[in-house]
Amino acid sequence: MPGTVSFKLNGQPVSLKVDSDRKLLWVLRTELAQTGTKFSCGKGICGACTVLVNDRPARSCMLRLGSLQNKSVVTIEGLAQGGQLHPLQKAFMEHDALQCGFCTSGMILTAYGLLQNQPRPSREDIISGMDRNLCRCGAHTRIIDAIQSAAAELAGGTK
Amino acid sequence: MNPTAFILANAGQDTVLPPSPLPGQDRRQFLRTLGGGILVFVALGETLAAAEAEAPVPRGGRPGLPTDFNAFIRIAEDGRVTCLTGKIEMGQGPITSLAQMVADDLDVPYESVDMLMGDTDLCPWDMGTWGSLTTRQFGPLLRAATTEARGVLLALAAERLQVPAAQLVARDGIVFVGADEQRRVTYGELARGQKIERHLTVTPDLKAFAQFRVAGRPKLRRDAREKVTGQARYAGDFRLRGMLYAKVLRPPSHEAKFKNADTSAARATPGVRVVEDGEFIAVLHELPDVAAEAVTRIKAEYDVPPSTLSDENIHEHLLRVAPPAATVGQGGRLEDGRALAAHTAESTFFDGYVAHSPMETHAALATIEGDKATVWASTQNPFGARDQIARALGFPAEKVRVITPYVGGGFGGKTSNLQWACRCR
Repeated sequence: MPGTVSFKLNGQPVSLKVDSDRKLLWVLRTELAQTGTKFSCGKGICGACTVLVNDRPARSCMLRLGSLQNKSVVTIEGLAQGGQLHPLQKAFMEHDALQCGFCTSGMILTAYGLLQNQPRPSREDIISGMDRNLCRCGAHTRIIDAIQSAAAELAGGTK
Repeated sequence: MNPTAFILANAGQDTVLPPSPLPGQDRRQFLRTLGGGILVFVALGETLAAAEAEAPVPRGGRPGLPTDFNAFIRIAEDGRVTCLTGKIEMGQGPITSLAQMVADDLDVPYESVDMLMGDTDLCPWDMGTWGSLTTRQFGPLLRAATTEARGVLLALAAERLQVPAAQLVARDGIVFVGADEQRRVTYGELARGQKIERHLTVTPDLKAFAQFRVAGRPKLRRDAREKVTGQARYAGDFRLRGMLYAKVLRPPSHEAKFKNADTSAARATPGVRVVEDGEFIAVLHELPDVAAEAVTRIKAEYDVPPSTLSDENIHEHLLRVAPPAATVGQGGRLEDGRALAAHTAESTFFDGYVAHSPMETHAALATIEGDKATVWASTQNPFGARDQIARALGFPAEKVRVITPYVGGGFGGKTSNLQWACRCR
């Protein structure tokens, strides 16, 4: 359906005159030139395309653009604030929690949602909370370490 | 950029692009126009031969060294060092580990080493990145090249400082006279005003492990920051002005035989172009998602033979259709081992059918300007891709440039490049 869809992207207002049935993933990657959000399975299974919608993780390959009217979207490009990386981003770097990097955007934004629900998750909480994001390389245990470390930093404790 | 540029990508992806630097130049011209500096070409001397002899023989035979063009190391006038390699970064870490090797063997700060990887116009020929061979096989070659580069710099410094090279010490990109450290010259100063392509006849000895200061010690991945901030570019993230995304029609199963296809519904989508060549059908559109949707509107008919496979007979089937077994490596004497064994056990092992399934789908971006094709490809084998693309297009290999951005996983599945040849049809 043609029309205008307005939402906030990484804090900036955006108004797009495009087919509102198009999926957010492709609008981000084409109209908005934000390619940190990745296409992988295209069916909402792998989590590589995860973004935050109103501060909650969502799979952008499944989201109609029209469903975002007046909402707030944050992609991996918008997670750092004022040049300061988010504690999850720092922890992923420091714990070597990535290899090829293709799942990383989705991992970090899914972990962001996990820590909102469970600020001090156990390893088991992290494993079940991240279960629907796929990494094909082998960074899994380091991803768990990174999330625990970021949780500690966000909770105000030492890393 | 040429407005007829087009993209051919699997399911389509994209962003705003960096145009290819200095298009149309051949790689020697390109390096010569990089400005001043020192390019060290590897003499195919004893060090390299020895390094290669120690390396394991890859499946498919030893590829040999690049002989036409093998500048692995460039020292620029500002002292920065570029390591040029046909290896690619897909998460296994060579963008970091090879830079560590270069830093140690050239005596330069790790941070002053830039990696330029997987570009067939700029990098020496390489067999491809697979088999866990980058460190074990390519590492010794790179070390030899880097050691030669250090020899060139020491020879230049000896001329400049009027001291025999044996009295010089190199550290952090600076050459000192050992007995008088005030007498010094930086690598950048040595490279300034130079346009040297140099071959050494005498190779300094490779450093021993105990002399390493950077290699062998943990480092954060060089690509980590780009990858946690979404800045890292993969093949599908590049976008050229005016390009189209292509989505290719795939048969529904193994051994499906194409009969016919009605593409009229796909063609009815505004802005869609359809390329048909027998069973090869691609739908092109300026938006990847529109191309993907339109390809589903093709009514294609196939003869699909019913599968006779089941959980019970799948292993038997895989054994039957597998290529003949081949000896990959041989050493020692099996009879001796048998005679020494206290126990023997025999068993048959089954594994599941395994797909490579990298997170990044197969993707490539191609543009043809005049008689030159440039392809950004998600490949483990840029030079193999170049040759296959050249054959598919009927271009000479030197008129095809393959650039490999970050690769989102490969696991061997991006070695044989069938998809690039397919894209370029």
